[in-house]
Amino acid sequence: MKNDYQERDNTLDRQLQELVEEIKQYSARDKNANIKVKRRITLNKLINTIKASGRLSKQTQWSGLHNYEDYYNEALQLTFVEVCRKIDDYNPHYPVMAWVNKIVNWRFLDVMNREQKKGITNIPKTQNIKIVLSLDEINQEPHIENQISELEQIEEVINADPEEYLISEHIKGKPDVNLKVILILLLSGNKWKEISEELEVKMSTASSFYQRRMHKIIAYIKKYI
Amino acid sequence: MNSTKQKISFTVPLSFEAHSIAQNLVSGISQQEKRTSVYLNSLAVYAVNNYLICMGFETDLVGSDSHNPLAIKLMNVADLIVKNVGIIECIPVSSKAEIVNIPPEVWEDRIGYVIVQLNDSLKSAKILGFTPQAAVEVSLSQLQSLEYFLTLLTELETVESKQAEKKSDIVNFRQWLDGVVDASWQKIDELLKPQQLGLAFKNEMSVTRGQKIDLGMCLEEISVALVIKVMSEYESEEVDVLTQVYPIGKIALPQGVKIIISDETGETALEVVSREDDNWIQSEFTAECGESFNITVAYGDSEVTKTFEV
Repeated sequence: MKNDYQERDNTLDRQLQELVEEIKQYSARDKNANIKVKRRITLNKLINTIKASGRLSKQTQWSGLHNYEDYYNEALQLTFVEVCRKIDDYNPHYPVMAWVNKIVNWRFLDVMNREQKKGITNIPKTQNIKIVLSLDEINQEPHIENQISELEQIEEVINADPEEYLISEHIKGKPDVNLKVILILLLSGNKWKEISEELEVKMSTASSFYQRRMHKIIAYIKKYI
Repeated sequence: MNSTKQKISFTVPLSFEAHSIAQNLVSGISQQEKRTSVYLNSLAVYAVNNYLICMGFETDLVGSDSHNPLAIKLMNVADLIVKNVGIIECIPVSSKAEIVNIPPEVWEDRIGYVIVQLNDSLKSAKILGFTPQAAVEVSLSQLQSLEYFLTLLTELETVESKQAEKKSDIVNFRQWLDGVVDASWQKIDELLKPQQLGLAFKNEMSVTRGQKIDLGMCLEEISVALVIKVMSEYESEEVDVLTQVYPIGKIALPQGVKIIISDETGETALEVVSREDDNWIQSEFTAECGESFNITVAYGDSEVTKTFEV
């Protein structure tokens, strides 16, 4: 059995070493697009091979920890970024997975220190604030409202249109199809298809008219909120 | 080594950082549907950003509309600025989705659309593929591979950075008006004394910046401030440019300091020269979108020329 494992690890390491060597051949600073693409694709494969290896440290000594999975995920994410960034510094004398797992160890400790410090300073002990939410949790999450929402403030500015900019910006030949009308319809939850039908303009005409003026709309609204 | 044939994918673990950003962005939004959409968009952008950083691209996450609290309320946007490449849109899909809808308000001004599959626990994101073309509906089975995506972005990056090397000296006024000003152009109250700031700078869409320029030789050496005010109306294709030259450390300019405005070919369009005891000189003109021109400040035998575009 033991030999079997050894065999598999040796094969894995050979495969990873080959990938690393290939990456190092293509310099990150090369001006040639072809070389850069090859480096990137090979880096991508290296990360995938590491993930699929079954040899990534699981940090099981911490598995009893509340939120263990989230700590581990954060540590892994940081590890992959670091592996990609520091690949040229990797010393081929050691197995690739030994190097990677050392990074996992360090990042796990970093994440744990950071999050626990945050926990002490920010969150009252009695309140259990969840950071990583699932799809169901977002969809259900009750919203506590104690002030006028920012969206309502925006709507107020749009309705008032203090410089009459929104009403003056309209699709050519259709003064009724102006930014103000579009904004009001959008903010009350209408889809572009509905807006297009309501205003009797092509959907792509209305949406691109809107998209192109986005930064001006933002600058304008910003002045009044 | 025949590692190039298998199709690649990339999965990003989503944890504290990804979800904190998403929670921050939804904090001012009370509509449930909008909250969910902003939250998922934010996770998708985060995942693509993480992927591109691993692949050695430079991105501007914070400068993207998807991180602008106003923009996300006014449109369904999940963009990511990739430096020297352009803007890509990161579209989240659920684990069961077979098609993806691309919001009409992001059909323009995009290199393309990266599709990101989020699992139901929202603890991991898989970069599925790419489509360069906007459409109401795209089938996930028709997506381009990540190899194609990386190749396209890398090619754009290489072309852009070559152009950027050439263009780095040109100052773009549109960028000024969008709030992007190179640090070598200072705010004028950092450059000039309060009593020199006689000109009333009103707050239409305008940006005023200045730069110290040393002119002349030996004993004749002088320092002046080149101050440029750029103004534009909403939606206007034109930009009004006011160019001024002030003395630094003195009250008046020496006689014979010049501002010369010339067009792309170098032909002089405007020229002003300081007379005795002038506190400043100025030249005003209007430039159209796409135009480029030179502003030269000259004194004696020395001159400094800057190139600008709108």
